[in-house]
This record gives sequence, structure tokens and C-alpha cells, in this order.
Amino acid sequence: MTDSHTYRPLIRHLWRYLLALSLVGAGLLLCLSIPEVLSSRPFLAFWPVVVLAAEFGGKGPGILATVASALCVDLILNPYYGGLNLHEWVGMTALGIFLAGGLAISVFIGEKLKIQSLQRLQAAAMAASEARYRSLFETANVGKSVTLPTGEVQVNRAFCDMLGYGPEDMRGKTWQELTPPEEIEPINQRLAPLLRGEKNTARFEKRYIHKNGSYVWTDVSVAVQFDGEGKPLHFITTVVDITERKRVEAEARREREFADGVLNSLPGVLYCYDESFRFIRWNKNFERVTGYTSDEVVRLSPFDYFAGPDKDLVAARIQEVFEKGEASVEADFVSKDGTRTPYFFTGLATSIEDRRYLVGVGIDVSAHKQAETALRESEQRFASAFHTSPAAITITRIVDGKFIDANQSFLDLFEFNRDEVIGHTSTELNIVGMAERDKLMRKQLKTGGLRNEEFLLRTKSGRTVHLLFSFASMELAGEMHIVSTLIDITARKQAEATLRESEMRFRTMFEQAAVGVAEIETATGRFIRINQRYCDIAGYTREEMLALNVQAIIHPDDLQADLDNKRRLVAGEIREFTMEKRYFRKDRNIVWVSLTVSPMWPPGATPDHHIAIVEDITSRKQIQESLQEREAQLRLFIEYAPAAVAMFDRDMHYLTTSQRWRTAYGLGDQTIIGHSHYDIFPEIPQRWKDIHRRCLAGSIEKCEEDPFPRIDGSTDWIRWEVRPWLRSNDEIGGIIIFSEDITERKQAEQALQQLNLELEQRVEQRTQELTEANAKLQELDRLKSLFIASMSHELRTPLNSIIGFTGIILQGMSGAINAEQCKQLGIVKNNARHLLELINDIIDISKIESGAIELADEAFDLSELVRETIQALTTAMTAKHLTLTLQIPPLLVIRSDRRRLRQVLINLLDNAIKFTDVGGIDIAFALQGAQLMLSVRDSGIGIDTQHQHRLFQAFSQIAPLSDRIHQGTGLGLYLSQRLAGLMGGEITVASAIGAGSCFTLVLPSNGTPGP
Amino acid sequence: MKKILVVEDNPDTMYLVCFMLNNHGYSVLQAWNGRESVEMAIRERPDLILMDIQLPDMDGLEAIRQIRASPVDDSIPIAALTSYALAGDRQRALAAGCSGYIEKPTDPDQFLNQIQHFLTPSSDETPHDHPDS
Repeated sequence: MTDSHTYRPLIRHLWRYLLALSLVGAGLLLCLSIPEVLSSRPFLAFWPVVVLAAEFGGKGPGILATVASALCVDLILNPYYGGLNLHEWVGMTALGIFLAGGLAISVFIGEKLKIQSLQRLQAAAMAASEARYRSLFETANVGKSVTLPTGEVQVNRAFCDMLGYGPEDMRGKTWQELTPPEEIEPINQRLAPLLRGEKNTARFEKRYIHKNGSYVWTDVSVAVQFDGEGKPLHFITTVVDITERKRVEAEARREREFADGVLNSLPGVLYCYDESFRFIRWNKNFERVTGYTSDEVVRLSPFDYFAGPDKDLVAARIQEVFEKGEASVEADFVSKDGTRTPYFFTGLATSIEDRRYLVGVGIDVSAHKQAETALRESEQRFASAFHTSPAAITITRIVDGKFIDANQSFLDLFEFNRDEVIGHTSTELNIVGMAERDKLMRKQLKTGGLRNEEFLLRTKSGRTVHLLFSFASMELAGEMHIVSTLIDITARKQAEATLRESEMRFRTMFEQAAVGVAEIETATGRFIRINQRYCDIAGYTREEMLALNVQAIIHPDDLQADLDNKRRLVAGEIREFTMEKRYFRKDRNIVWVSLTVSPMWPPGATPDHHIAIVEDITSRKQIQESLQEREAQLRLFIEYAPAAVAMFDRDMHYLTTSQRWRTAYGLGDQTIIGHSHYDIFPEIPQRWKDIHRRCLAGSIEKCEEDPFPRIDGSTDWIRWEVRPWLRSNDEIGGIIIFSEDITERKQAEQALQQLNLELEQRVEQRTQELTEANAKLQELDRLKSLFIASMSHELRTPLNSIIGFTGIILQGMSGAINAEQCKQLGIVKNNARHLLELINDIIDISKIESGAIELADEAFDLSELVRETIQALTTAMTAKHLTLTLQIPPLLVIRSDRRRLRQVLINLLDNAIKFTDVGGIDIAFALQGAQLMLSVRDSGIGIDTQHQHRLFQAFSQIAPLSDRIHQGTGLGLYLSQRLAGLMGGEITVASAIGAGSCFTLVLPSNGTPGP
Repeated sequence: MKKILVVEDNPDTMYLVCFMLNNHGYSVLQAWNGRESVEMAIRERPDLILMDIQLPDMDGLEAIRQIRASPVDDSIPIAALTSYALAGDRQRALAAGCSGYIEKPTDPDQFLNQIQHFLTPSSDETPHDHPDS
């Protein structure tokens, strides 16, 4: 197919070549037919060549020009060949023209044909190329897309596969839809130069959105195509999926970061440099330790981190690394600020791509170094201590018991030389007692060691040495050893023994703090030596005592006895004496001492010194005295005790008795102390002997009332108690008997009981009487109530008639009466009315006092009540020309007893009117907290302060009866006050003579006052 | 003419009350004990009953209760006629069915005022006591 396409134009133009060849052939034949022409015109032979050349090599006018020029040359050159005759010339010219014309025609036709065939060929080639391209586009395994200026994409299969879509899904999609939004603008910027024609292609990495939402990393190449007018036609895009590459890259990055992290977190320094000592890599620690920044590290060589001899050492080792592959060195690492730190470096050679590197690790060994140094020093110290120690020290291996080492002291002590000891066991050394030591050692080994055990050994020469033995186990070079120390204390032991002896003596003499000890020159009494206690007893300092002699502190009264004793001592009559005497202390107080004197001279020798031992017995003396005093007191106490008391020892011998005892038992002045109770009272009954026996065994027995029949038949009563008494060591020393004659008391008690009995009877009788009286009283009370009840009815009924009919007559209802009758009937009516009031008041008071009154609890308007009350008294006020002011809220509902309250108000107002002649009355109301106050103030005569307390008493008017111009029962205020009290309130008064009075009724508001 | 039944056992008081009432133009009926008062109240149907609380045969209160229990119109006022009653007495009287309370007469004008008060039909408020001195 491809071949036919290629060669078809050649076949198609074959005829042209045939024509041209035939023309040339004709020309050649012509020329050949005229031999002379050919011979005389050799150039003609070239003509066919010229034509062919023109045919194949030239085109159009070029061919003509070639032909023409060839002709002209031929013509011009012709004369040189003898010139032409006419027919020759004509013939030649005609031939030329013919040839030229034929050529021109064939060329023209050939060109025409050639152009056509070329066009066809080109079209075919285009179609083939496009087909190839399309096939390439469709089948390429890289994503391809053609993108329209609108963004719409046409994509190939690979593109679809890459993003997970089917070809149908992709139809109508724009590249923007397939691109993460944040990448759209950067891509537009990259495409801009393409659109401006500045660049042909662009290449970049971008992400596409996969159908499943993930991102696909791609490598994108874009080319733009323009139409004829220079407008962008479309973009051709090649997309390669590089997600995998990206992933690998990320992984590599992570791995590198991880590796860096590991390197940087390593404790040591880590580095790598090449053969030219250029640092390639190093960890962070390297920078931290050296103090150089990474820029500085790059510029420095490995030798810059070392100084002095270390430099050469390190250089040698580095060379070794590159030669042998590995080397280590310990050197001081010098940091930027000059600090030197001992480091241990290890270098390792490695090759990467024919280049050699040194990878090194450095570890800080300063701590290790210090420990090493310390260890070495301690070792030296130990060695020095070991060898120079005066104590004998050995080191023994536990496994075989062989001596590993022994110091000079050990060798000296046991008289061995070193070779005899080292590598041998203690058994081999044959030291007497050593086996015993080993046994002890083994026993103690479990507990880890032993300290300062005293021990006896015999040396090689047979000397017994006293040793202080200590040992401890320790680990040396992985094996357990025993370090034993033996200190020769033989000399010390001996010295100690001597010292202890003398010390004992000294102690005996002086350091017994409880007693004073002194060595005294017997002849002079001068103190030679004296202990502190002695000084303390005498109250002097040691120096003062040493300046004194003993006579100076002895009490004058005791001096003679002291001197006598000393004399006998000196004379050898006695070997020692002890006496109690008194010293005069420095402060002139007397101290009692017990003195013991012993001579220091052997018997028969000349007396020189003696030892005086004194003991302060002042307090003992005092105790003795106070004991004597106490005893005397007790004796007196018992003697005069107001009870019969006797104290016996365990054998019932009398120790002491009270006077009362002796009197009670009729013993008189008979000596009984020291005598047995049973001897004195042989007739004592067995019962008492048993009691004594039990009490001597520890029991306490007593009897509050014990009858004691007397010979005369009467009975005495005795109270007794027997108890043991204890010695200071808690042993029972005997018993004490206490007895008391309680006959009198007993008799009194019996009398009292009798009396009580009588009293009880009397009380009962009296109670009976009282009960009866009470019943009578209750009856009386009932009668009183009955009386009041009848009073209220019976007393008033007649008065009602009197007052009622008097009223009727006075009003003229029963006919006319004259003025005199009217006046007299008025008097009758007034008095009857007064009597009625009196009776009413008395009944009220009786009821109140007997508690028979009952108060109503009702709600009403107090304001209205007040106005109503005033209304009832208007006549009386008008008659006296009194003014009235009233200050009270228009509506004031309270809870109380309306009628009783009215009674009180009337009384107060009535009184005000009664005792006021000039001026007026003010009624005011106030509410104070939970109280309401209604006050009635008048401008009347007033009441003296000292009489005010009588105001509220029954039948009491302030003025004497002779002045009694004011009518009234005298019960009004008393009754009002009682009623106010029943209502939970009271009436108070404020008044002064001539200044009027103000009575205030105070009532509880009961929580319900209000308009 | 208003008809008033006076129940009183004391003849003087009965005379005094009746005199005042007659004198003022009322028609007066007299009953001397409780039983009689109940009978007359039923028979005569007075406009007002003045009832003495302390009667010989039965308690005035009992009489009031019987009248109130009888066919007699409950709207007929019954005034307890006592001298100087205490609060407790008055409460009991009101509880027994008594409409109000009148002091035994001492002052003619006051007494008649009170009678007038009870007979005034518009008066539906609780009658009050009046001054007694």
C-alpha cells in the first residue's frame, strides 16, 4: 500500500521520459545520419546529454535557458570548426528549434503533470500521517487530550483509564472540573506564554481528580495550535501518571527524615567526609558538641577539631582507615570555644560510586575517664595503705584458700618471707590458732564479714600474740576473696590491764560520786587529795579545801569526839572508825555527815595518811526527825481520837490505843502496850478471834450496827471496823480495830422513826381536812357565781322599774307634773341610774375576777364605734361648753369585743368630761407596730404623779371624799383597765396637776387593722 | 297598727314595757311564760316579739328556738329583752334564732327608738346596742 503510493507518480510520468528519450534518439539518429556533421561538430554529441540533464535536473525556464545557452555556445564555437554552410546551419537551427520546441512542450506538460501528482502525493501523505497520528493518539499508553479554549477536553483511552472514567463519562468535561481548584490559576499562568505565542510548549506537574476523589499526580506537556488568524485553536496535552513516582519520592523523603532523626538523636557525634577531608554529612550532635555551625563545618577539615599531639595521632588513624578500612582513636575533641572533651572515635571507610569516604562515630568518654582516674587513684591509695599499714593484711582467694597477697606487717608479724606466704594456704603456713581463725572466718562469711574480734595466735617463733581480727569478703577480677586484717594488740592489752588496775584503785578512792573521799595527812588534818563530792558536801571549791585542814570544818561540838577517835586510830587501838558528825559548810549552814576513817598505813607502821569517807546524811537526819515528829503526831492523834481505836501486831499484841479505847474497855492506866489482846481479855468470844484471824489474812470487816447485850439486860449498839495495816513492803503488819458505841444514836434513830410515823399520820389527817376545806371552797365559789347571776337579774329588775317609770313620769306620759316634782323625780332618776351603774360595774368586776367573763371576737369599725360613743356623750359635753377634736381614719376595722371596748371608751370619755371644766377633749389614734393606740386627752384638772398609780384601783378617786364633787362609782378605770387587759392591751396615763390628762388605750392590732 | 308580743314574767317590767308601747300607739300582746309565748306567736303572728330570756317555765332561748321551729314566719323579728346582758348571753341568743337585742327600758325615748328600728323592714343590718347611760 505504502509502496504503490510512493511509486504511482513515477509510473504516471513514464511517458514523459519516453518522449524525451525518443526525442534524443531522433536527434542522435539525425546526427549520425550526417557523419560529417558529427565529426565536425563533436559538441552535438552532447546535446542529448544536455536535454536529459535538463529533463531530470531542471525545470521550466531553467531548461530552456540551458538549451539556449548550449545552442549559442555551439553556434559561437562553430567558426572554429570551419564554419557552416547554409543548409548545415539551417538544418542545425531547425533541429535546434525542433528540439527546443519539443523540449519546451514536454517540459511544460511534464511540469503540469508533475504538480498534479505531487499534490496527490502530498494529500495521500497527509492522510497517512493523520491516520498514523490518530492511531497514535488513541492507542498511546500515555494520556492525551485535546483541549478547546472553552476548557472542554477530548481525551484518549489512557487518559480515561488514568482518571477512572469511561469515555462516555468524559464527554463534555472541562479540564477545570478535573483539576483541584487551587491548581487552576497556577496552570493558567503557565499557559499564558503559550497563548501569547512566546513559547511553543509548557511542561509541568499537576494533579488530576480521580473519579474516586483521590488525586493523581501527572507530568503534563502542553502545546498550543493556532488557526490561520493566530487565534488559539486548541491545546494538545500529554499526561503521564507519576503518582507512583511521587509516592516513591515521598517515601524516600520520609526515610531520609527518619534516618536524619535517628542520626540526630544518637548520643555521640556522627560524621562523614571524603578523601579530601571535606565533610559530607554530620549529625546535629556534632554541631552541638563542636559548637560550629553547619556552614563552618563545611569549611573545616577533620584536623581542625584536634590540638597538639592529638592532631598527628588522629592523622595517622585517618590514614589507617583509608588504608585498612577501619581504625579507632581516643583523643580530645576541641570545640569552637577551646573546650577539650575526651572522645573515642571509630572510623570506617566506605566507597560510593568509586569515591571513598570515612564514616566516623565519636563517643564522649569523659565520665569514663574520670571514673578510670578515680579508680586508679583509689587503687594507688589502697596499695599504699595495704603495704604501709601497720596492721597485718592478707588477701586470700576463697576457692582454694591461697594467699594472693600479704603486706609487710603480716610477714614481719609471723616472721615469714613473701615467697613462703604467697600461693600457699594458711594450713601450709602452720600458724598455731590459724585453723581456728579460718573456722571462725568461714562461719562469719555468710554474714559478710567480721569486725574487731579478739584473737590469740602463736607466731613461727612461738610468741603468743593478741590480735584484733577483722575480715571482709570482696570480689577481685571476678573471684571472691577475703581481705583479713590482724592488728597486734598484745602490748596494748598489757598496758590496758595495768591501767585498768590503777584506774580501779583511783575510782575506789575518788570517783564514787555518792560519797566524799579525801586523803588526809593524819598529823595535821591537811587534805592531800579530795574528790568533788567531798568539796560539794563542805560547800568549798577543791582549791579552798586543799588550803584548809579538816578541823576547820568540823562543828565545835563534834570536834572532841573526832579527835578522840583519831587518837585511838593513831595509837593502833582501832583500825577504823565511823561516826556521825556535823560540818560547818562555807555558807555557815550545818551539814550532817557520816564519816568513816581508814588508815593508809600498814598496821604497826608510822601513821602518815588516812582516808576519810564522808556521806551527807542531812536529809536522812531530817527524815528521821520528821518521822519522829510524824510518829508523835500520829500517836497523839490516835490517843485523842474520839473513837475506840487500837493497833495490833500480827500476834495481836497492842501497839497503841486511843484513850477512848482504854476508857471503853475499862483498862484504866493498866499497861497494855506490848501485851496480847487475848491475855487482857481472856473471855473474848471465838467469833471475834475469827474476825481477827481473817483480817490478819487481808480482809476488811465491818458492821454498822452490832447489838451488844449487857449484863443488866439492856442492849448497847456498837459500830466496828477491823482492817489490816500494811508495812512499807506491803506485808500485813497487824490489824487496826475501830469501834464506836452508837447506842445513843440508835435510840435517837428509833425516836425519830416514831416521830416520822406520827408526822405521817398528822399529814394524812391534815390532807383530809384540806380536801374537805377545798370542797367547801368550791361550793362557796359556786354560790358566789350563783349570787352574781342573781344579782344581775334580781338587783336590776326593780331598778329598771324605778328608772323606767321615773322616765315616763318625767316625760309627762302619765300626765303633767309641776317643776318641783320634775326636779325631785330627776334626783330619783339620777340616783337610781347611778345605783344601776354601780351594780353593773360590780357584776362585771366579779365576773372578771372569777374568770366567768367571755369576750367576743368580732370584726367591726373602731372609727364608727368612737363616733357613736362621742355621739352618746354630746349632751354632757355641750352642757359644759367643751370642744372636741377627733383624729381617726374614716374606716378602721379591728377584731375585738365591740361592746366591752365601747364600755371602756365611754368610761374614758366620761371621765374626761367629768374632770374638765374649761377647754376641750382631743381624741387621737395612732398605729405603732403591732399596737393601736387610742388616746383621750383633756384639759382638765390633771392628776398628781404620785397619785397616778392609784387611778386604776377599785373604789378610788383621787380627791378626798370631802371634795368629792365628781359623781362616779370609782370602779370605772379599774374595770376599764381590767377589760383592756383581757383584750390583750392596757390603759396608760400621762398627766400633771393643772396640765390635763391623757389616757391612752393600747390594744394589739391583731394583724387586721386597716381601712 | 303594729302588733308586738311582749314576753315577760315580771309584772312591773311588763307594765312598764306595755305602757310605753301602748302610749306610742302599738298594739301589745302579753305572754307571761315561754309556753304561752310560743302559743301566742303561732296564733297571733305579731310583727315583733320582745322576749325576756329569764322565764319561769322555760328558758327564753328555748322559747325562741320553738317559735323559730314553728310555722311562724321566720322573718318576724324576735328581740331578746334582757337587762345588761354579757357578750356570751347575746351570742347564745343570736344562735337560738333571735334577731337582735333590746335592753330593758330605762329611758323611754331610747327604748322606743329601738322598737322602731326592729319594725323598720329595710333594716337588714345587725341591730346595735344603744347607750345605756
